[in-house]
Amino acid sequence: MTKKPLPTVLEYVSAAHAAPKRGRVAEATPAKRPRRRPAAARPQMLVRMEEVMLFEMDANSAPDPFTTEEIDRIARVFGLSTGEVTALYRFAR
Amino acid sequence: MTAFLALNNRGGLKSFGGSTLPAVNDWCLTHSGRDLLQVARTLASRFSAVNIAARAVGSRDSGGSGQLLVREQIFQAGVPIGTIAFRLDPAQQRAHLSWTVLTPAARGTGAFKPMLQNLLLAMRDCRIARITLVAGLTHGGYVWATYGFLPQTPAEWTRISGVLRAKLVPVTAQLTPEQAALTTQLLGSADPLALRAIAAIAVPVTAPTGPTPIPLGRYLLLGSEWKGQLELSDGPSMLIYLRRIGLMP
Repeated sequence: MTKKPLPTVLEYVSAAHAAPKRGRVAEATPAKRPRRRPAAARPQMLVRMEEVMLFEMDANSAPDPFTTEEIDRIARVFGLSTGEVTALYRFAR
Repeated sequence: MTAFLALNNRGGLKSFGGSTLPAVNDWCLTHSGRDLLQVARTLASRFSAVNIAARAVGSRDSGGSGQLLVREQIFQAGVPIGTIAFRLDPAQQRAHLSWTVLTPAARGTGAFKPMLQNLLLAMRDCRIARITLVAGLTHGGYVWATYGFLPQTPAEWTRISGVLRAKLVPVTAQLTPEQAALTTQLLGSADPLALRAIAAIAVPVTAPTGPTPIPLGRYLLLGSEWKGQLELSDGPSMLIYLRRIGLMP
């Protein structure tokens, strides 16, 4: 256990060659600006992958979500005539 | 306790730990014939680094099915670009894609494609036959339909078709009688493939909540929620998926 020093003990010993602090003019220092964290450490806003997939689908691909072959296959499975396929999938835009 | 593995493709293995690391490693060796580090390398392919948290549950010794739960954080050039969570269940030959999120850094880069490609390769090693997920929230119901996923069961399709039928009512007036009849006919089909037939409908309609016309298929499926699956043995569905994730032109 340490003992609190008595008032008789010199707490601060100043060097003989040090200039006196008394009379020093206080300098106004600007507040320290917080350092910007690197991008990897910054919290990121997350988005669902499906949102990005839809965005890129719109940006990159043809307007039709399926190929002609797949539409033909769907038409065969559901017995759609050419006219019906045109009405739903291939009408003039 | 979960097993952790951080893999940096430039500097090699960075760190690993967790009391279940041996169990996860055993799981990988048993079900994919490769150790955890090799599985991690597959998942990290074409990315700079991954952080993997994995846990083997229901071990075969305890009579369970022996699933592996994985959460994988992916980095590109030191920046996190996304996290993907999935479950591998070789006993059922099933993988479940739980959720995937991307950071803005991944937007417009197509980074989700190699993520899904790597995942497919890891699944193939575990002899997975189908991928399941819950297509939902705002975009999932439409997006996963255009990626080749179909409702898991006819009953699930029957449920979702009822929801879509109700959604069709406010826009029926914008369709020709033939288009309305055909759409209703497809919604009344018992075949889950009808979901794809609906998603493909290109007739533009203006939704009650939106000012711009969008294709009817997209209008109906956006905001819907359904339990979907992709059968890897289903050629046409797989072709759609492989094209979408960039493995086929």
